[in-house]
Amino acid sequence: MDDDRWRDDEARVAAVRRLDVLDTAIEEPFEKIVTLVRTVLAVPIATVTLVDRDRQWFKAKRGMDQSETPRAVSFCTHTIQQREPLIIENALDDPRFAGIPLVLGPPHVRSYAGVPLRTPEGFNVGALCAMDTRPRRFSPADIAILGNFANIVCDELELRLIAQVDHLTGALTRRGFVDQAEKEMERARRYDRASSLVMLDVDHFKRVNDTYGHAIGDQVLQKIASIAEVTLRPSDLFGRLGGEEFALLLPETNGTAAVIAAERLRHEIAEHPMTLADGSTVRVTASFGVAELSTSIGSLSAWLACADTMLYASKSGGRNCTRLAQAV
Amino acid sequence: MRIDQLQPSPRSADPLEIPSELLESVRRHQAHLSALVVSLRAAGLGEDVVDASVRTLVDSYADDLSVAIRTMMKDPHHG
Repeated sequence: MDDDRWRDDEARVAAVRRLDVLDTAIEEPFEKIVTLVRTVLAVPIATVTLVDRDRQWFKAKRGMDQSETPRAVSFCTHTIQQREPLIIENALDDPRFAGIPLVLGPPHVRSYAGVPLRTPEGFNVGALCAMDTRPRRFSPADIAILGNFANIVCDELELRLIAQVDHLTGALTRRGFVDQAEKEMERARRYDRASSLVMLDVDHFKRVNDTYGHAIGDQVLQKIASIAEVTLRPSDLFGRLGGEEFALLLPETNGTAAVIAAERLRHEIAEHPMTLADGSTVRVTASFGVAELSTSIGSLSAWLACADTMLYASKSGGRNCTRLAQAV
Repeated sequence: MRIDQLQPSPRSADPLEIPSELLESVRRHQAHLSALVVSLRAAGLGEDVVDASVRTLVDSYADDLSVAIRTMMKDPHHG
């Protein structure tokens, strides 16, 4: 990972949200890990902490009553800004932490060791933390053990993510997309934010398969997905709903802006013949349907249906074009 | 590779074949468990603690792996 991306907190937050773990229920693997950390390192407090944009949220915790705290007054906001573990022997001696609520009030943290939880893409999404209520010097052996446990936390998080990813294209599966899109829809509603859904379908895909074979058809889908991944923002969701049909969910985006994004993607697909693994080229186009979230849309399935209707209109209108649903 | 072939063997796991897209992640987890064993022993912890810790982790990982595989099997666009 280059230095610019390392500092890109928006992309990091998007990586946290892609994990789809914030505000989820207690899960046994993480509970077991914090229990083991507490036992093996002989500390009263251990947490698996995810760092969101403005808060830290505890996926698992022992010895801590809070379920989340503001990020600005957390240890972990500092841990995720470095690649190495953050070790604080006495929080009262460190001006960054001497006045924070976790130190001044319950659970009265005095010493802290946190190892960043890093995704395979290189984003620090949180930390595995061991804390004591007395000043303490964590040994290199303690930190090595904590680092091993942190790797296992990352394995567990990755396992959930892989199960949501379509192996062929790297896009979310339909199930993964629906799970995450429902959360985004709820967020947009709660905060009264714009959000738009885009559906795209490769034109005459059956002809591609029939002409070149399914292996080439698969390469076309992979190319479309890679073009989309480059075009999209880290916070956008991209899923393969089935066959040659994909969906994009664009947070903080109204219908007009979503059409601009869809058109940019449509041009990228249409204007760049795809060079296949054998050096030959295939030119494909795609049709798009766009629907902005509105008060009349009561569910994700209704929203998808609205975008799908516009996709059908694009197909009927000659393909290789974009149609936007009229707001009602 | 099947779930029941993880090391150490999970106490209770269906003999589900691990899909290719999960194999790399599973092998990484196995390597991380091995590294944890080395660290725990280096810290002077007894074999009973080491064994109990690793077995706890592999059991819960096997459960999660089963759920992930079944989720993937239900999705027609995996693999």
